[in-house]
Formats: sequence, C-alpha cells, structure tokens
Amino acid sequence: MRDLLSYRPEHFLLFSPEVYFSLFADGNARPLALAGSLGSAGLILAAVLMTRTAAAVRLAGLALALAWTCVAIDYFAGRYQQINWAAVYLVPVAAVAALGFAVIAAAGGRGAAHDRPSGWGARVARHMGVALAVYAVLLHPFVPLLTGRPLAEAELVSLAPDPTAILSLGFVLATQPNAWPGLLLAAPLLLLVISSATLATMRAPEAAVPLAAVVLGVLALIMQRRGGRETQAHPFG
Amino acid sequence: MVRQPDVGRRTAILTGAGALAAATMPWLAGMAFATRAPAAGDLRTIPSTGQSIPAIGLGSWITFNVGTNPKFLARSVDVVRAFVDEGGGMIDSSPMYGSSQSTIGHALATLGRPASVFCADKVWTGRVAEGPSQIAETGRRWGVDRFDLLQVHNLDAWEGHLETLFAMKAAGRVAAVGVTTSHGRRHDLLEQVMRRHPLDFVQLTYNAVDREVEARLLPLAAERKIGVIVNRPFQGGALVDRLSRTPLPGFAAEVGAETWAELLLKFVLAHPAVTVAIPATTNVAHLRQNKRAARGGVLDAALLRRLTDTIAAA
Repeated sequence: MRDLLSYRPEHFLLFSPEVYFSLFADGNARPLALAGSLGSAGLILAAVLMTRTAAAVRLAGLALALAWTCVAIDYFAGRYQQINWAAVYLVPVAAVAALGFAVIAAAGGRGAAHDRPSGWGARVARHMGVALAVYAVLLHPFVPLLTGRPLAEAELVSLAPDPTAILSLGFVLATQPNAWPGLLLAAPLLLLVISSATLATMRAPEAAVPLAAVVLGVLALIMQRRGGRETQAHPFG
Repeated sequence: MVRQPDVGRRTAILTGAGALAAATMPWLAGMAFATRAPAAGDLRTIPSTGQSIPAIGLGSWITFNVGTNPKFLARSVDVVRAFVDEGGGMIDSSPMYGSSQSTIGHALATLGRPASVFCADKVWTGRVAEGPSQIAETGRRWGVDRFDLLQVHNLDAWEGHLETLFAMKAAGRVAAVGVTTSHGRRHDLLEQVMRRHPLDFVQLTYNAVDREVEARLLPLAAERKIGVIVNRPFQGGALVDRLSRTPLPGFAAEVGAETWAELLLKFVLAHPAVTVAIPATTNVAHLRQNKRAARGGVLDAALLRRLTDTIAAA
C-alpha cells in the first residue's frame, strides 16, 4: 500500500513538454493535412452559425466524423503513440466520437432545423455552443502565443484532439437540442479531461483550457436539459 | 579532507593501453569514435565480472523519448556523441520509455556503433511469455544482437523474467542480469531477490535526499558482490531545481565541483557500493558536467555530512 501511495502523476509522464508540443507542429507542417483541417473546421463552424440548414448540419456531422477519424489514426495511433505507448488506448475513444457524428450525419441532422430550442436554458446552451465552436476554430490556435510558444505549434481541428473536442461540444450544444446527441459528448469530454491532466502534469498553463471547456460544456448540457425546452414536430418524424 | 579513489591495476592497465594506442596509432585519433580514454577516477569495477566501467552512465527516461522529430533526434545524437567522447559507459533504457530505445539506436548507428557503450536495457511486461519477443524487439531498436545487461523492470513478473534472463546469460546471449526499482518502491522484495539470486546488478533510486537504501540494500549489494546502478540521482531534476538558488558550498571547490549537479553525483559516487550513476540529460554541457563529477576529489564522511546538512537547510 505504501508503494501504491507513493505514485504521483508525474511518475507516469514519459515525455517533455517541448516534445509533446512539437507533435502539433509536425502535424501542421503537412500542407494537405493543414488544408483539410482548415476546410473542415470552417465548414463545421459555418454549420453551427447557420443551424437552420439541415443539410449543413448533416455535412458538418460528416466533417466531424472525419475529423475524429483523423485524430484517432493520425494523432493518437500515429504521432502521439510515438512518445506515449498509452495513446493507443485513446484510439477507440476517438473512434466512438467519430461513429457518433457519423450517426448524426446519417440521421439527416435531425433536430437541427425544426427542433428549435425555445426554453431559456436551451437558448443559453445554444449560445454557449456557438461560443465554444468559434473559440475552437478561431481562437484556440493562438493559445501557444500566450505561453511563449511558436504559432507553428497551433492545435487545429482534426489534427489535434482538444480543438476537435471543443468544436464537437459547440456543435452538439448549438445544433442538437434533443437528449440523445448529448451522449456523443462523453468521448470528447473524456479526452479533454485526459488532456488537461496531461498538461497539468507537465505544469503547462494550457491545462486550464480543456478543463474550462469541460466545465462550460457540462454546465451548458445541464442547462439544456433543465432550463426548459419547447420543441416543434419534426418534419421527418 | 579529500581522498582519491584507489586505482586498481586493471584500471591502470586499461588507461595506459588507451594512451599507448592513441600514441602509436594516430589514425585512431582521426576516427569519429576515437574517444578520450576515461581517467582513472572515472572507472568503477563491476563486482561480479571484474570489468571496468565508467562511473557516470546515461539514463534515457523522458530525455530520449523524442519520437521522429529530426531536431530532437539530432540533439540526442549530440548528447550520445559527447558521452562517447567523454569515455562512454552504460546507456540504460526500457521498453517503457516510449521512443527512447529507437533514439539510442539511431544515435549509435549515426556514430558508427562505438565500442565504449555498455548497452543496458530491461524487460517490461506482465506476461513472462512475451519477454523473449520483447527483448528481440529491444535489440532491433538498439541495433544490437547482444546486450551487456538486461534487467527486470520494476520487478514486474520478476520470477519468470529472471528465469529467461539467466537462461540467456548461460547461452551467452546477454553478459549480465539485473533487476530494477525506482522511487524507493518494493525494497523488501528487492532485498529478497538480491539474497536468493545471483544478480550482476541492481538498479535503485539513491540521492542526497532519498537515502533509505543506505540502511540495507547498499550494504547487501556489497556483501553479495552485486553492482549497483543509481537512477534518479537528481530526483528527476527536482533536486537541482530546488538547490538552484542556494550558493554552492565552499568545500565544492576542494573536490573540484563547479555545479550542484556535480556535487550531487559526487554524493552518490562516494558510496563504495555504487557502481554507476545514470543521470539523464538533453544538454551536452550538462552531460560533460555529469561526467566531470567522477573525476577530481571524492567527498569524505565529513564533507558528506556538510553536504547533506546544506541540502536539508536549503
């Protein structure tokens, strides 16, 4: 028991912060991957900002599914796994997220166009979702500058898990007021918690970002469920 | 106050032979890996074999886990190059350390596989049956057919793995066998294993603050002629950070230490049971400082007490 109690988080840290953050620079250095990331992030953000269009929500769901697939294969099973053998255990978590958003896309963006939130909680949740999505795409890439790191290490949607998870939170909160899509957020929330713990163990101030996203996301989900909701009949239902 | 370590006959012969070779075969100096022969004080003797080995080795936890990033790989090569240049010695790794094994393999290949490197690694799996294939993969990553030392990492599945390693040693496929712990864990079990098995090495945590091993394990290692590899001599860097604002004590100059890192390593090396300390670094200057710690004066009992008092007050 004494041995077990002697373990601290830093005893499990296999890599240095500079090597960890360099993984993002390595990912961004590939022009095709960078273009794919920017394109998908823009498309998803546009869908979040224009939720009256069910087709846009379908397309954004598909883009998020692809983004999570890239995170699973290219980041967790690829770059991150090189320095952290435990990253392979995060591949299925990202795959579950990808599958969930594929279902959203296949379900025809159900809930987005006509199941408009009208209760106060749902409206606040939707606004928080829009804010999270805008942050993930437009502001999160600049976090390195706040801590003296180069912009080359920017974390981008589909190339890094944190912005992909925050954008997923924003997307679901802004476009999916029904109860079941909230389940989609279990995987992104778990990955954000793990990311925050990893960054905190490295004593990186960036740890506050994924943690704040989790807190905001959970608060918004609670408000969405308890703050009242009046839904209209779905035209496809 | 300062005592010089005894220089054994074997050490003197080795050092003299190195100097003679350099003098009579000048082409050696032009080779990438014609290295500076370790000075007499640098060397320790492996108790079970009588082989000499530089007292300062090189750990690889975190520092060599750099993936495939070319900039960090090149920096790692520079560190290993400086290590070889300073006389070489034990480089230690583990399958647990991410890409560290591959980084070492890359460095050794880049440097033309210098003979002065003592290759030490570990087996780390809870399934004994996986041990041989993991060891083969470890050899592939290092680019070596045979290790100088293989150890059971953190005593995981130690009984089965020791059986495998002793069989490999009997077959001439590894030169030495050991077990490891770190952070002061599992010392009771380590003591049992040391008493029951003919180990060549144990690896454990020892530094100026974590001194529990002085009570039983270090004396037992000396008694059983087991070499001791010291990990975390700086508490993973925390000890050096903690002391960074404390002025170096005046007696540091008496033993030729210019930094806290050197003093902390001199503390570890002052124990007669210690064979090798394996600090890890990504910095060539720090590597050379670490190597320098084995040279110059040795801390005697009075200086050790003053050093530990200074650290306790810091």
